[in-house]
Amino acid sequence: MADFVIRNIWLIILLPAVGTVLLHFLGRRIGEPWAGWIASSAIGGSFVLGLIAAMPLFAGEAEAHVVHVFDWIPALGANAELLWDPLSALMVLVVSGVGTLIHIYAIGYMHGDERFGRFFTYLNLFATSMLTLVLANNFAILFVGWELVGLCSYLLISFWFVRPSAAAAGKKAFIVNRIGDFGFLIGLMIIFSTFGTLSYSTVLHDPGSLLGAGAATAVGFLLLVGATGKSAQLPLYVWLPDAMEGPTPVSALIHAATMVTAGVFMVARTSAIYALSEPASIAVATIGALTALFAASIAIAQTDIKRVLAYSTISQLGYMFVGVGSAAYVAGVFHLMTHAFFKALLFLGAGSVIHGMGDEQDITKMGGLWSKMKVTAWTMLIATVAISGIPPFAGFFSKDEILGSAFGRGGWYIVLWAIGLITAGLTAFYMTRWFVLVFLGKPRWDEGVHPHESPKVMTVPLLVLAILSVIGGFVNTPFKKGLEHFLEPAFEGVKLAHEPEGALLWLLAGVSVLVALIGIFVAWTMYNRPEPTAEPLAAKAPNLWRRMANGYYVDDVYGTLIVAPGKLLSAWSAFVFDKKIIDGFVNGVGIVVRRISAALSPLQTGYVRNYALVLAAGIVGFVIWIIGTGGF
Amino acid sequence: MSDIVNVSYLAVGPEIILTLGAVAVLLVDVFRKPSPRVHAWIAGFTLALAGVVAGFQWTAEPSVSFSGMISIDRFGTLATFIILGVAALGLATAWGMVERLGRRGAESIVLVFMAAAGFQLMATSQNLMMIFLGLEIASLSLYVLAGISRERVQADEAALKYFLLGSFASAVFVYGVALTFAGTGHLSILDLRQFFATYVVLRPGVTLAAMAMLIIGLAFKVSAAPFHVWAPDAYQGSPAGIVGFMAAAAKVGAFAALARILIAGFPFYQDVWSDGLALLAAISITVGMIMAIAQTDLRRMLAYSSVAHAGFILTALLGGPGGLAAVWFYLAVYTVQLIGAFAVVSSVAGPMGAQSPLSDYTGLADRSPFLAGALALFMVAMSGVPLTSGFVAKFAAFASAWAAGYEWLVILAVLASVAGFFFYLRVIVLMYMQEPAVAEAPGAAPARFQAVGAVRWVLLIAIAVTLLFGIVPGPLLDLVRNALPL
Amino acid sequence: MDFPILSVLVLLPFAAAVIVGLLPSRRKELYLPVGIALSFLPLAASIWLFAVFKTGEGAFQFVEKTTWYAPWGVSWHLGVDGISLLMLVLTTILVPISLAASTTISKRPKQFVVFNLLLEGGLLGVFLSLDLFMFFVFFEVILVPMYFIIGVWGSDRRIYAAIKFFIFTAFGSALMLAGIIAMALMYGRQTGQISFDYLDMLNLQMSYQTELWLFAAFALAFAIKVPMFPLHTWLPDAHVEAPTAGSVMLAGVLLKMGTYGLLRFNLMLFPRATVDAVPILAVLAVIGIVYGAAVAIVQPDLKKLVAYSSVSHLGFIVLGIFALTSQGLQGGVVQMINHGLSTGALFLLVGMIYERRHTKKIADFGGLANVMPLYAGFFLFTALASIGLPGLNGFIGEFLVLIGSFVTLKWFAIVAASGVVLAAVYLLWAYERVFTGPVHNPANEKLLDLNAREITMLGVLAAFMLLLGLYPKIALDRIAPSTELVLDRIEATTTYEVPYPGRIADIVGVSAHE
Repeated sequence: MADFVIRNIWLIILLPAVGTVLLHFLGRRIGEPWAGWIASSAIGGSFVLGLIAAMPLFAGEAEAHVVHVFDWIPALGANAELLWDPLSALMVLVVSGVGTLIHIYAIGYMHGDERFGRFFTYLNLFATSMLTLVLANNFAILFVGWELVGLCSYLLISFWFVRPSAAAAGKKAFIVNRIGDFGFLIGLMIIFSTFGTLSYSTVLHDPGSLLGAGAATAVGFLLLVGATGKSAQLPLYVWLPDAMEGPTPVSALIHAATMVTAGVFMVARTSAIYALSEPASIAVATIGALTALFAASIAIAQTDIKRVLAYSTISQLGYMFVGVGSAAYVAGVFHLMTHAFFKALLFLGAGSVIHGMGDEQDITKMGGLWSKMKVTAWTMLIATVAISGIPPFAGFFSKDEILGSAFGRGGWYIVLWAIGLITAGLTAFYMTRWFVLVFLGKPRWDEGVHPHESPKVMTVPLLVLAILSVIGGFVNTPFKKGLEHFLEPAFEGVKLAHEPEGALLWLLAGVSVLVALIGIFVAWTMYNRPEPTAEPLAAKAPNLWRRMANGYYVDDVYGTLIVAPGKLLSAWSAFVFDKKIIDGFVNGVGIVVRRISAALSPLQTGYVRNYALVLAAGIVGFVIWIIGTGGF
Repeated sequence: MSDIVNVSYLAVGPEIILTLGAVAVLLVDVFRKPSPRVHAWIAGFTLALAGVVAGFQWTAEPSVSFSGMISIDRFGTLATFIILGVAALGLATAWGMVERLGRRGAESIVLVFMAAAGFQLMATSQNLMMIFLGLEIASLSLYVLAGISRERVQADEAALKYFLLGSFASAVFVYGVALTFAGTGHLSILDLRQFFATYVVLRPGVTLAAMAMLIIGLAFKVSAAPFHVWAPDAYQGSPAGIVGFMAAAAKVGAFAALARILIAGFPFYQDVWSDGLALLAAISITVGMIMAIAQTDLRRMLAYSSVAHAGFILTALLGGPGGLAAVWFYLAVYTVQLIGAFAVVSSVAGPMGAQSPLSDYTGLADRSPFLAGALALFMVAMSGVPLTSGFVAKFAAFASAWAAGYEWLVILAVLASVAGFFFYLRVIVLMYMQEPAVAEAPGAAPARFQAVGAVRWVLLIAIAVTLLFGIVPGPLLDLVRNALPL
Repeated sequence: MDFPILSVLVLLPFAAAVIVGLLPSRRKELYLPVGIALSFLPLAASIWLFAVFKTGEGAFQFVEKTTWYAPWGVSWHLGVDGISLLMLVLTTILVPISLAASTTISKRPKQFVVFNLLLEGGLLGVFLSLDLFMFFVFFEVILVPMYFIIGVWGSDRRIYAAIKFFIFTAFGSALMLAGIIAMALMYGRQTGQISFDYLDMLNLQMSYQTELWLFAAFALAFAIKVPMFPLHTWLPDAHVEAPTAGSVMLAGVLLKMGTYGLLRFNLMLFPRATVDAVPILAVLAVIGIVYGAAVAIVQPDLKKLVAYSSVSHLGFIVLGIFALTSQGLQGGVVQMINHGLSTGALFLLVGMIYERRHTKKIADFGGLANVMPLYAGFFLFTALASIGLPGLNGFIGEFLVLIGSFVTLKWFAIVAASGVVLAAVYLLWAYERVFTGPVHNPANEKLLDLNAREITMLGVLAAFMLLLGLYPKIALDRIAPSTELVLDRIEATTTYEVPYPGRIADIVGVSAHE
């Protein structure tokens, strides 16, 4: 059974693909809620298939399987080939598992939307793309998935395209991602021209034999550019906050749990290349740490229930980058997994709140929902604790492993560890603030709002994810490194970084828990008051707060520095250079010829004497010419 | 050359028949009321018979008769064929004019026949004086034809100018003949060649001046620049029906004479005259193309275009004997296009019309699709677009010049052809792409023009020739390939 | 002799044009349906050819040769290889579609159909000719129907556009004509028999200097046709003014005559000059990619935007060709097809909205996805194909071109890759402005969505885009052997060697199959 599935591993992709095609053509006719259930069962089926295929891996089998599906672009050594190894298996399970839950949740959340069927078409298309991405056995197929998830992101962010802001956000996401892809593409070019193929089987198997250190650094940096686009890291993170224009299940699935982790996955997948280049690895980790801190600081000042989570996601992705950049690939992927659980949970919970509040998203107008939405509130509490890094919840183990591994590497990484630690405190702070403002205190609802708990179809996925957020961390604890053993075959030949052992481990863990607790405590005291007035921090440092609330005006800076000059240059090319200079020259030639012609026309006066003069001149001239050339 | 004077009536057969036909037309006109129908029969019969006789010439052994004055060779016969064809098409086009002229209609037929006979003589003569004779016969006939419509002042003016300037050119030609005699003591082309082959001319100045003047005299007739100044006024002023014939026949006769004189008579000066012709060609092409662009009258435009075409034919002639096929092909197809174009012009302007402003052609495609289509095709062919005979002609001309080493001229010529698209296309633009100006009085639809009677046939034949030899040029090329002068 | 399928293929459209021309003028309603029906015959022929074409063979197949005019060494010489095969299929697919998109043509409908069919015949002739004279004849004669199509059935500034189109392209081909004559005469001097035959020309001996001049003459003609920067300004005008069918054929096929010519003639006939001219062509190609895209961004007119996008896309093709690697060449050829499909479809789409609203100004629209969801869907699909989304056709070409050109033209490829970003900018921004948001212009409120005819046309193109994106092998298998021959020749006749891994043979045999 498992063998059959592994040999036909493309079935995992096929299921949601079939769902996509079916819903694309019949989605409207099938209608609500069956379209949702079809989509959910398609991806659910993929999850089941993934579980079956992963059985031998769970049992300790280490062999990777490559499945050739069909020839695609032979000239690039880029055929439709899939890879089944522990890393892809884990990603498949996370994507399809969390994906299934979110699909089901969406049946409730999207209730009543007139494009219900279309929504699930896109969701299934996303599943298809994401599974392709993680199952790829060459860079070209990876890139296919990479781009297609970007497309789905575009489609789903601008799902409610009647809102101009949604449409603009979708476009922004796509274009910013493309900028990242620009680097990614160049990375692929170097890879191809070095190895003569794009297949992992060749490229990632001892790349050092062909790839020099300099080239490896170049590739590492270029792939990182791609990763910063997809995983919303500095400086290309700007699309993700805007992406919250999409329906909330989309934010949960794509912009928290799965797609945005593609960059982390890719770095992990290409660990063999990063292992060759210390600078590239440091760059990954540094970008990650800076992003983590930067985004966390912005998250503090957000008032939109989803924007807080969006910046939080960016920040958490930064952690993962620190992990994979420190060669702690297992830790990075581990955090990817746990984050998928609790961040999906947070978004779904946020969706539940939005749903229950009648599309209200401003957390300053919430409060007191604890009693109105019991399930949501409890699950959110779990998620908040998990993300804050309080043991024994999932986030604690994964985050701590990253921080520990970074510390363990020493040198510059100590600085990154410190940044990560500060960020941990900030994380605990803003999540607590978020939770308190939404669920505790007195209601600050607008008139006419009647909060209510969401239907079962939405709350059940919340519960499942909550359970995972509680226990997810136990797959890899300092006591039993289950995940590490499971994943290690995927990083064969790569030196992995590990947490320090013994007392230092406990010390580091203690410090980070302490920092988290401080964060929680500070936020709790600041916000958990019966009558919360304006932001306490805003009063103390109004300028800083305003900057943080506006994301340090990065969008405006990009607008002034890149977009506006770009448009100006475009316009100049189009309306001055093209029209006036090039075309002006062309038309000028025509005009000159016509002018000459018109100027000469009056010479044809009609007077015979003038004609005779021309003739005579011609005769004399010609005779002289002939004699001149022939001799006198 | 034999001592016995060889007299071959076959050598002048077509000319005799044309003359007799002309006499017959006059006699009928005297004894009966002017009857276009009878004239038509006589004219048609005469041309057909002349054509048959020319056919006998084609198969006859090449020979020289009348004391070396007239030759039978395929060179001359081919010219005869083309001129007869031009005369037939030209007359058919002008038939509306012939009918309109009443009694003087017969005169016009006679003049056409005499002109044709004169041009044929130019092509078949082996003697410079005979060539001059043919030139004068033909020219005088054309001068009269140009002014045949006495109702209009423009026609008189055109005829007078044509006459004055033409005389000027004739004088230059005859001066050239005299200088030739002075320099070599010969007037016969074959003798000239013999002379140059035998003697070394130490001071060739006189001879070269003679050659230059012969070239100039004929360049005037073919309207090569800068000797083209008469053409626009003559094209514009003459009756629309007959301009096509005037222009086409003159080109054939004069080019035949030019080719024969230079290739058969002055082969030892080929370096000199081909450089000279190249110069004329370059000037003609440039001047023709540039001047045509600004014209607002279709006939003047065609006049300048014919200047450019003269340049292209000169380009072909640069290849010497090897380029003759290109010359013939060009002449054969271009004359047909030219007459076809004027057939359209005369349908629009009326057979006696003197003006053909381009604005008359606005929106013609909707009013007279057949005429518009035909004119569009001729324009396309003249501009040298493939699958028309015009392309093959240009191609052959360029290949000839390139092979002769005149690469620069070919490049100039291809670029000038592009400039030519400007004005050829403009005619199509007017006919197909613009709406006619709205008539002042409501309900007064713009005039519709029809190709009446024979003109219709002229157009159909011209269209067929233009397309046929554009797609399958082989037969015609084979035919003209061996038409070399003695 | 075998059945002369290629001659039949070339002559079918001409015959069809005659048949339509002979239809009685009373039966106006028949012209278009008959024309469309007849245009299915060449389509059937080319599909049959595609099916029976021997894959894995690079040489010309179904070769026919009949003397046209022996003394000049001109013959009716036809043959099809992997490169031309795809161009045939593309041409014959687009003609019925562009005709079907012309139901609103009311002015002189017969002439319209006839000209379109003549155009098709000329195009097929261009792609099948193995004789330089013949090639030139078809290359040039195409100007006439296209000139009429733009000039008669175009919009306001159609006359200016038509003349500009004609003069520009005629200017280029004029010098090529001189080059062709020179080559034939040179061959005559070397062998005693003038010849215009393509295969003979491959044996022509010439000095390096001559080769450079000839290369320049041919390259100029093709560069104008492509069109390459800075010779491109005829294109936006022609596209904007042309009727839908004209734009579709112009972008879909006519431009490919330029890239096809570069590949077929410049690379094969003048390999030494090609190798040395690479930097010039590559610079212009890359400028074209970036410049075309940059200019497209700010165009206020939808059609003009698509037109400038063509400048950008064609730059990719030229870059791929002059990369002189297997990947680049394959990508270039595939991209010719892709661009034909996707840009053809984009012009169809613009035409459809123009028929409904009589405007192409982006600013006049907004929120169309609300009223015309199907239309919006097709537009987005096509736009995505055009910007090279993986899974659709455009990606295959661009990816091959970029990676293939990186092997030899590192920095050019890197700059060119930015075109990928810009493409997303101009198309998605246009999509945003036209389709999303609320409907703010009352004139757009009652627009009808696509009808069955329009869905069929677009659906066919979309299906091909998807097919070529998912399984490009059907095309690549046929293209690759022929493009390999091009490189074989260049390597054999020059000192140039394709660096690793620019040849198919360099590609690592991929993975152990399970």
